[in-house]
Amino acid sequence: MAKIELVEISKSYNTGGGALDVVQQVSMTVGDKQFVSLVGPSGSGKSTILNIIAGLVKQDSGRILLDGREIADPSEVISYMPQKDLLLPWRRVIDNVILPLKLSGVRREKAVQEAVNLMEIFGLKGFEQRYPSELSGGMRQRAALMRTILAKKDVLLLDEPFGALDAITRFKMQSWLLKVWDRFQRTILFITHDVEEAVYLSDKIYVLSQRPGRIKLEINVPLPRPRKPDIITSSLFVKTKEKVLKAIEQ
Amino acid sequence: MVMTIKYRYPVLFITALLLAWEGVVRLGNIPRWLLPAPSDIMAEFPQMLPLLMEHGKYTLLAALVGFVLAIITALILAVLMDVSPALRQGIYPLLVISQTIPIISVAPLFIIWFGYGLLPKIVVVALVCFFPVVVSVSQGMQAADQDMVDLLKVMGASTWQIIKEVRLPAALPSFFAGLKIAGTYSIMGAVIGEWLGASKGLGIFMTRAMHSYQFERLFSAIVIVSLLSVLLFLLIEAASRVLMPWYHIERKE
Repeated sequence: MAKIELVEISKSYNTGGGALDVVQQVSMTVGDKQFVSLVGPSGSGKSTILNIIAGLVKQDSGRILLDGREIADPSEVISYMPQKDLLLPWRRVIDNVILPLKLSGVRREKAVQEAVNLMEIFGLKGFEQRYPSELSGGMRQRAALMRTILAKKDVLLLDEPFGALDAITRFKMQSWLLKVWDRFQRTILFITHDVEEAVYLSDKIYVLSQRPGRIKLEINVPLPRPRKPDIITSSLFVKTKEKVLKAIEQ
Repeated sequence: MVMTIKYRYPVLFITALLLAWEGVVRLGNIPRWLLPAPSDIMAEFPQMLPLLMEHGKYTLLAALVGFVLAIITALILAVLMDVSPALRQGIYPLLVISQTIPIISVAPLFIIWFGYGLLPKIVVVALVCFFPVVVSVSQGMQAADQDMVDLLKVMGASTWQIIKEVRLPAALPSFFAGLKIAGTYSIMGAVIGEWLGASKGLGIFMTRAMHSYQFERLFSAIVIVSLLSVLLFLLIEAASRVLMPWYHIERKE
């Protein structure tokens, strides 16, 4: 059974000059523990789709099934990481990452105990007592991802988490994300406008058209796992990337 | 030392101002009962000090109690206004209008209602301090990052949790900015309250000095009022450092 299933989702916004169609008849499925990417040019409604799944925006028509049923409160299943890291500036790193646990009523000591053990994997060991403004961009993103994972939900929605990072940090973070994903075994729906990133990370890629966003292409990535960084030079990788790029250009 | 550099210019300017004042009074042969020179005031100040302290106690008490009361009510109202937009729209104009009423015209009423004791002064202080605090907190809460609020919603946070975790902390910097204004108003508010009728306090001390043309006394009281206000300001600044370490780290202070 699919973890996330979108059935013909449409959404338009009322602007001054009439309705602006943002997303049109989008259908997608994300399987359990799959890594699926949604690629498209800016303004193609990628974030809108994520916001609809997260329950922040209501679709005009279509259905969303999580674990095969329509859920009133998606926060039961979903953990969302927006584009900006949105760490709370007034909370220390440790208190930022345990925020979802605290909100659901877990005692601070217990939540901290759980988080401390993970600090090493997320490259934040020794920075627990710092404030977010004292961290580098990459560290902030890792902290934000740690917070997303600590929420202990089956599904992670990641909205261009590495968009603001420089190329080198970005590539490191991608390889690291694969390791984290392998360890925590979650379902990920990942948004990016970087085709290479999508191919490197995903099991399946959906390509969105220009506004209004429609699914142009659904493609399974035939690369084996676990993937090493040098896989990006293999011919299979390049071929897949070309297919996706062609779909975007059409 | 960093401290000496930071304070060099303020000290320089204040000294220059006092010297200019002294010079104008002496060279212009201005009579003492019209405007005393700083040196006259300083000569009078030590023997006035015990009396000023005695009166200052009452002024400070009224100011602090009124200030704290204003903070508490302002915080409660700001949170309520944040939860209910209807309440916000209804009350905000009232708050602004309340600031157009000259406090000096209604303060005598408080004396009729609440007597000559501490209470009418506390009411005046609370009224003067309330507005800057409620406006600063309320605007600070409104200015909280909507994306952060949305993120907490997706995490399943309740309205109260969102206020506690995002809106109130986000409002802290502007809350302290409002507190600094209100804090300096508070001593002045107490003095105005006492001015209109009291048995003790710097306000009544000043009125008496005025009536008997003892301007050295009047200025001595002004010095105390300024000192108390500055002290309160520094206390608020210190509190902001304790309560918002993250804010000062961000600004590299």
